[in-house]
Amino acid sequence: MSVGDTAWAVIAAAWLCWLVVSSTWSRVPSITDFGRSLLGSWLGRYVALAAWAGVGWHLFCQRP
Amino acid sequence: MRARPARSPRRWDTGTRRAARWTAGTTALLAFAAWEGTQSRRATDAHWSVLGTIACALVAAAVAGRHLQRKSSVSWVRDGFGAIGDDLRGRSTGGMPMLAGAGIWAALIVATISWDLYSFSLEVHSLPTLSRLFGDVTAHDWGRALIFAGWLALGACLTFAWRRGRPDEGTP
Repeated sequence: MSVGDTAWAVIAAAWLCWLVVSSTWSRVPSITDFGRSLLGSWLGRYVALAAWAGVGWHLFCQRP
Repeated sequence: MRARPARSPRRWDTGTRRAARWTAGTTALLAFAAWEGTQSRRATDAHWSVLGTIACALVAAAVAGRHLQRKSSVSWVRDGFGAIGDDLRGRSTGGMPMLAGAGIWAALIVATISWDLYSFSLEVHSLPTLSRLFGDVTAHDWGRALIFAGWLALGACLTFAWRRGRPDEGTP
């Protein structure tokens, strides 16, 4: 396993741990809170959709 | 023992219709993802299918969300900057855990982007970028289909989730 793979594994584990902790502990903001806040207005929703579209085009149509 | 109140026929119809719509939509999206898995990223069909999906999501978001957004864009920006300003001035309304939680989210996002940029700048085989990791998975048919299904699910969530309920559905 290369240095880069190890670093990504650590980052992924940190994300996973924090997602679990934040969704079970109600005193810290969870991903649901961010989603609700982001998608609460037209501007936030279309910013999120633009990012989603960019990621999709990059992953499925460009050479990564 | 108290008897459970009978469900009104109207509510039952709404629930059944919603379940049928959900099943049909999920099946269609999975079939679409399975087809997309057979495409290569250079194929014209793949380009058109991704562009078509993006166009459908943008139109569906506009149609489905008419009059159902919780906030205006102006108040969303104003409230967002107001909350960040309160946090920076140490006047967070959620207390210390809320502030620390927001800090951890920010640290995770910064760490991910920084490591990706660092790997990208060095261009060494032992330091793959995030898109190269995804590229290794999407090089296989099953991987491309799986990632595409996840992307579609995320898009559906961003298009339809967290709106105000319609008055006839009884949700606030």
